[in-house]
This record gives sequence, structure tokens and C-alpha cells, in this order.
Amino acid sequence: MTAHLKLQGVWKRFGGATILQDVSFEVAAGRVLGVIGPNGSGKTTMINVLNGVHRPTKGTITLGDDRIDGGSAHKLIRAGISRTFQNPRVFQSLTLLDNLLMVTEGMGRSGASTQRAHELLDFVGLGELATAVASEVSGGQKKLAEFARALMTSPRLVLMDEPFAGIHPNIKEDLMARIRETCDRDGITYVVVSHEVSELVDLSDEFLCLAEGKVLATGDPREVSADPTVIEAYLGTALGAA
Amino acid sequence: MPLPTASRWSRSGLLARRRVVERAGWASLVVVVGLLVAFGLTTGQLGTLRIATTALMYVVLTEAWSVLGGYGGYLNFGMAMFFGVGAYTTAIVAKEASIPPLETVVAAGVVAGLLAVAVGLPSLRLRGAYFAIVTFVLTLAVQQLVMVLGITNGSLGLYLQPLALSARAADQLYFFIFLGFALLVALGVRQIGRSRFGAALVAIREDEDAAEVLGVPTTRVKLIAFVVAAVLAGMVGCLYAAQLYYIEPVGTFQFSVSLNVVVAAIVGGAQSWVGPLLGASATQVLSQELLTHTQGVDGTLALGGLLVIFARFVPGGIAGFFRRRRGTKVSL
Repeated sequence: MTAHLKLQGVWKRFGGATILQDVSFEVAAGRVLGVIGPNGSGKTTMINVLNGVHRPTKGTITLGDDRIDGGSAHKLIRAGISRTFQNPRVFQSLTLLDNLLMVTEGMGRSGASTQRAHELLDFVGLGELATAVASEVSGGQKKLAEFARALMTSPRLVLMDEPFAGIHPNIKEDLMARIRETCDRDGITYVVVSHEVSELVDLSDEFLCLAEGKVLATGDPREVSADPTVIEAYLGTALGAA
Repeated sequence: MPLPTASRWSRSGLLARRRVVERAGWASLVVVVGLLVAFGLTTGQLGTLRIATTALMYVVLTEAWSVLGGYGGYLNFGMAMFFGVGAYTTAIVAKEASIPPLETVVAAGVVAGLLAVAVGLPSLRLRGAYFAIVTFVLTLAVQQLVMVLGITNGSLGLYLQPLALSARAADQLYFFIFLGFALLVALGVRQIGRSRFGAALVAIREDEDAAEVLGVPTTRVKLIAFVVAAVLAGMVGCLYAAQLYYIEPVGTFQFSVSLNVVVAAIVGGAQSWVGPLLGASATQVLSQELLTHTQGVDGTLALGGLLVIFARFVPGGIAGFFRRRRGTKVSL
């Protein structure tokens, strides 16, 4: 179930634009890696490269013993990689329950999958909204439903892009608690991208700061977030001057 | 034993209500089919029989279209292309192999399916209006090709060997062929809607990027749906050519075939197998009646008006309207 994530020398270019430059890091199984960096630093591209939406131009990515670079998104879910999006991408006209069932069984199925879907909705606090249509629930509830859907695939690695943006503080707290719980209990590895540094410091075991597509700093969350070069990157100082 | 949550109760209540409605629906379908069979056997009005046959033809085309267009949310204006290719395949194969046109139905479906693979691989990378435009333009391109090729006899068209039957017997035969075909295809589309393949298409319609990262091989699923629609349209084209025993490029590849299918799907509701049955029947009977009793342009205007009204006020079509009325919230 658990797996160690390792990136070695990962590059991503789109035409003449280099978005990721020689990115290397490791995350031990069952740990939370918080990823910070200013806008345009390559955080979302890194998530997209990790789950196969984009193929890396160069470099290797392994999850446990499996090479996952170059795999397409729909195949990597079978390697145990799941994700959530910056703007929750739930299936709007379906119920929350069907959103979860869609992942494993298709709609209208019963049995073990339905039970697991109900358990996961209960787990994220949406049990009473199982038959609510996704378009009718709040933005925060959509984020929770999307998180439950990500867990529906029994993942080894969950990638989360801005999970705390624009949601009620209580839901934010619940979401952080559920991430931590599944991490500690099930050994799921998380890579969480967020601009909300204080929340991410509380949640993460390790930090990674990206700037202009390069790894600027890695290590203990409090140390990285207090690093002068990281602060300068956020304030817009040129990387070369740091 | 843990108590069920409120959500579980409400879902089971919803399912029980759906079962009752489904049984009523099946009973209605059996009655309608029985009435159609009686009509086909006893009617003396060949004009009415032909209108009913055309409506059934559009039921098949709209059901076929709904696999990608309704479940998958891809607006396909290329049904006329596959329909026409099927018709021409029948005419050419029947002539070259000296066999009755009806025996070429598989060949017509296969050729249309192969064309769909060739066209679908590049065009299904496009989304929304771009895909719709490409399918429309390709239809025109294939039509132009047929007009200049020697094997298709250019704009003069091709004649087929008619059945050695009286006009009445032939019309009855094609009525029952299309009735059986429509029933088979409708039930097949119903099964697709309940399968993992159908669920994958719904996921694509809802959010293609999310579907991809949730494990749906989106390109493959879309291509299969596109090919299914093309194969069925090709087979319908075969039956159309065999029935008319003369085809030419302008009439066979006319855009109104694609447009009628889209209008029928929007009026009936494309996101279930019932919608195309209702939509194709209603729009074809209406347009054929208007065509018979008024000038042709009135029929086109009426269909255009229907399209605007349903797109604006009843976006789920007739089937979607009733589904919402009975409180069903799921899409399949």
C-alpha cells in the first residue's frame, strides 16, 4: 500500500518555455510533502507531470519500485496515483455518491463499492449529502467530495492542488485532519501544493519550495518557510540575486 | 448492526420509485410496439407507412448518435457522412458482387466504421464546437469526393436492384425491418447507459480532464462511441439505399440528415435511451406532416423553432423533463 516517491532530474518544456528544471526530491511513504512557491513557479505543472497529464521532457519518476514517468493519466491511477484539482472537478450533474461510484464501478452498481463510497462520504462528513447533486453543494463540500473520490481508488500517492483555497475555515480544518489521518493510518503519501503556508506548515512533514521551475529549498517546513531565499522568491526578487 | 443513514434511506426510496416508473415505461413500450405492428400489417395508407418508416429510421440514427452525443456530450454533425457512405457501399458492393442490396448491410456498417476510425483518431482530440465543425466539414468533403469519383458515378448517382415485391409489400417489409432495428438499437443503447462504458462516457461529458485522471481512457472510449454511431448509421444508409434503389450525392449526404438527428436528440433528450425514441418520432412525424401539407420551408422552420424552444426552456428534452419531475437526480 505504501510507496516512496522519487524524482530525479525532471525537466518539462513546452516549446521554448522551460517550466521545470532539473527537479529532484524524495518523499518517504506515508509522509506529507508541502509544496510552496510563487505563481508561475511550476507547482501545478509538477502535479500534472506526476500524474501523467504531461510527460516529463527528461528525468525519472518512481513510486515504490514502479517507474511512472511517461505513463498516461488514466493508467497511472492503477499505479496508485490519485489527485484533486485547484478548482474542484466533481461531476456536476451527478450525486456525490455517483461521483465516487463512477471511479470504480460505473453508475447504478451496488455492493462493496457502494458501501465503501458511503463510508468515505461519512469519513469526510458528507454522509447526509450522498444523494445531493454535486452542483448544489458548496465549494468546500465539493473539495471534500473530490478528496473522498480520490480516496475511492485506494491510492498510494495523492496529489492535491490548492486544497485549502477558498473554503470555510472549519472545512479546511476537517480536510487537514482527514489528510493526516489517512496518511498515518493507511500510509498514503501526499504531495500538497498550497499558497496557504501556515496551514501547510502544520500539515506537512517536509517542505519543498519551487521558484522559476527549480527547487529552491527543501527540508523541515518551519525552516524552509523562514528561509530568506524563499521569502525573497515570494516577494518577487530575482532568483539569481538570492 | 448500524442504522442506515438518512442518505441511504432516500436513495433506496429513489430506487423504488424508479423501478415503478421503469415498469410503467416497459408496459407502455410493449403497447406501442403492439400498435405499430398492427398498424404495419393493416394500414392501407402507404404514405403514412412511409412516414412511420422514416421516423423509425431516425430513431435508429438518433439512438446511435446519442452514445457519443448524449452520454459523451460530443456534438457530432457527421451522421450524414456515415449514412451516405453506408448507402454508397451498399450500391457499389451490391452491383460489383451481384448480390441483393440488403445482403450488404454488414459491409456498409464496416466501411462506415473504418471511416470513423480514420476520421475520429485526429478529430476526437478536439472538443466542443471545434469537433462539431470538423464533422460538418468532413461530411461536405466526403460528399464532394463522391461527386467526382468514377466508382460512385459522380453526381448522376447509382441505381440498385429493387426487391421483387409489390410497392405495398416492400414498404411493409422496410417498415418492419426498421421497427426491429430501432428496438434492437434502443435496447442496446439502454445497456450501454448501464455499463461501465456508459459511465465512462458520462464522466467525459461531465469533465473530460477529471475523467482521464480518474482512470477513463478518454480517447479510446470516445473513439469506440464514435465508431458505434458510424457503424449503425452506415447500416441505416444501406437500408435507405435498398429501399429507394437510387442514390445520388446531394440527397444522400444532405446536411439535414445530421441536423434532424441533433434536433431529435435535443427535443427528446439525448442523455437516456428513451429520449431519442420520443424525439425522433415527434420531430419526424411533425416535419413529414408539415412537408406533406405545407411547403417544405415550413417544416424546417418548425424544427428550428422546436430546437430553440427546447434548448432554451427544456434543456434535458422530453425525457429529461419527466425525469426531473419525478425527482431522479442521476443522469443515467
